[in-house]
Amino acid sequence: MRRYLDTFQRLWFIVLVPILVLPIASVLWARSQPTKQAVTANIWVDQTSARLVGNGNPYITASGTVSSYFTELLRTSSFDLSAARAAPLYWRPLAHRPNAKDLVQADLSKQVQAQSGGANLVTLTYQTTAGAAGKQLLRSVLREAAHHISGYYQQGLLKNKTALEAQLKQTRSQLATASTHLSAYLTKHQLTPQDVPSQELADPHLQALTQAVQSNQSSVKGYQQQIATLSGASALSGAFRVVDKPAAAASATSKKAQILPLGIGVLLGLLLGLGFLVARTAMDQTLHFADEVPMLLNLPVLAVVPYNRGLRTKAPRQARQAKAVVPAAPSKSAEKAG
Amino acid sequence: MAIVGNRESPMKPRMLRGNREKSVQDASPFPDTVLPPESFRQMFVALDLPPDGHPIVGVTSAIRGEGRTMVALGLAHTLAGDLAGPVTLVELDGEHPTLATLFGLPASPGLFDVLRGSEHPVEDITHRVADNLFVVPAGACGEDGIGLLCRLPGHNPFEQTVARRGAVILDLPPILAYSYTSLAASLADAVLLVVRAGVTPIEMVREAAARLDVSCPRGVVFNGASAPTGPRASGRKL
Repeated sequence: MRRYLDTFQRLWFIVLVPILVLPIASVLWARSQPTKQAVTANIWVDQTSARLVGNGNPYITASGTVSSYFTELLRTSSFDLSAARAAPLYWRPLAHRPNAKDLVQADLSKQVQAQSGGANLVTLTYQTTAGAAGKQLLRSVLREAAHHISGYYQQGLLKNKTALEAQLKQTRSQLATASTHLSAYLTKHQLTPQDVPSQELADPHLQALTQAVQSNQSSVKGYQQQIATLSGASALSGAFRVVDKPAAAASATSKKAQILPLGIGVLLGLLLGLGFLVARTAMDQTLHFADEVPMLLNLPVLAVVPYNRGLRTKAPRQARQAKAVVPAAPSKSAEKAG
Repeated sequence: MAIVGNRESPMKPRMLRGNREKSVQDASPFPDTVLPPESFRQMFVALDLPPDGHPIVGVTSAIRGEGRTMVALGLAHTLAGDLAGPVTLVELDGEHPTLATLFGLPASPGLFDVLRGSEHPVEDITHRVADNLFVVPAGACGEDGIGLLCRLPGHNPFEQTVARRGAVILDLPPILAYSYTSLAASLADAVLLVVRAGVTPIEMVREAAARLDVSCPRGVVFNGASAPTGPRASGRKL
């Protein structure tokens, strides 16, 4: 420990420089980095349309449906590329790069987030260092998305309509069967349709047949109404509208992001400074303290001459470079014993 | 006020910033003017040599640049002031001689010239630089200079003078640089191994200590410690 302190006393400047300089440098570097901005846009989702194309799950809101459409679109490379190309400020620096497509997809899929706020509101956020290019890109994304989401809607409507028509057909078939059974029963018991209301209370079988026919008729009517509604919804022009155009605001850096560069600088500075101290002390094979002499050389220390700066000469550097010019000779005591 | 000699400028000592000029006679290249003399007294006392004898103390180090010459200078100057007899500082590092330029002495003749067999007597190469303090510069080392060191144990030019001169401080070359340093060190009654804090690898110091004669008292002078001296770290006697 004493040797480390002695080395620090002699070379404190070299030890302290990285400990002080690196944290300051890292903080300055972090401050010099361009600040990230958050470009946001809010859109309003038409609830009716979204409900019509939904899978009937009452827990998925209209905004949730559209938000998931956006997320799916942003993961599609063709969508990302067409949106990027339609934003000149964003596309210009990337146009000549061979991996532009991958860069654009990586950027949009990670930096553009679609979040639903409430039943009808979706917020799109894009984290970027270039605000103007980011706004242009987000507008382009909204334009492209409008076409695609309309397409999704059309597909959803068609799918639901097809399903409804199949169910209508089946119900019509059931109605026809129930009607045939009722007619046969009436013929068998020599009854007319006008006798049904008065006879069904006394005849449970007649009542069941009548109810089956009525139930199928109402189902057919219901399906026909739904199909008509879907046919009317297919004329919708857009699934959402932009209520807040893309606007940029400086995104607040988290405390962690502020402290991290300083922490790394301090850690690195300590590693370098203390590492140098340890290495220098370990490599130092010279004597520094008088009480080391008896231990290492087995010779008494007769006197200690204190260090005097006025008597310092260039000799120490020469002394460090000196090497023994003759090989080690056997000690005289060994010679005398021999 | 402290004045330290400038090794790069041989002509006159360099002044420390803020001090007014002093004459050459008053110039003090000795480190104990900026370092506490007690450190050097501690070294001598810890060696446990008889103070009224004529000790020869060798100062060496593992490699260059550890403060060997500074310690030898400081020790010699301090003892010159404390001991009754004269103190002689002998420079044995022929490859990098400094004492001649430090004190403004002629570089030659010196010790290596005498060892080589020149006609100069020992007195010619011994210079008085302060009260009770004499300096013997290394002189012209030449290509055979280092080899001359191995002659020292057999041909000590100061043998006749030690009895009259008193204490002798040998500023030896670094041990790992020259094998003959350990031979030259055998002249000394005690050897100080200077180790500089934070400079020399432990293995080198260990190797240098192993090359010293174990029968000769020896100890470490820890140079350049950042902490003040404490009772545990200093003042130990052999």
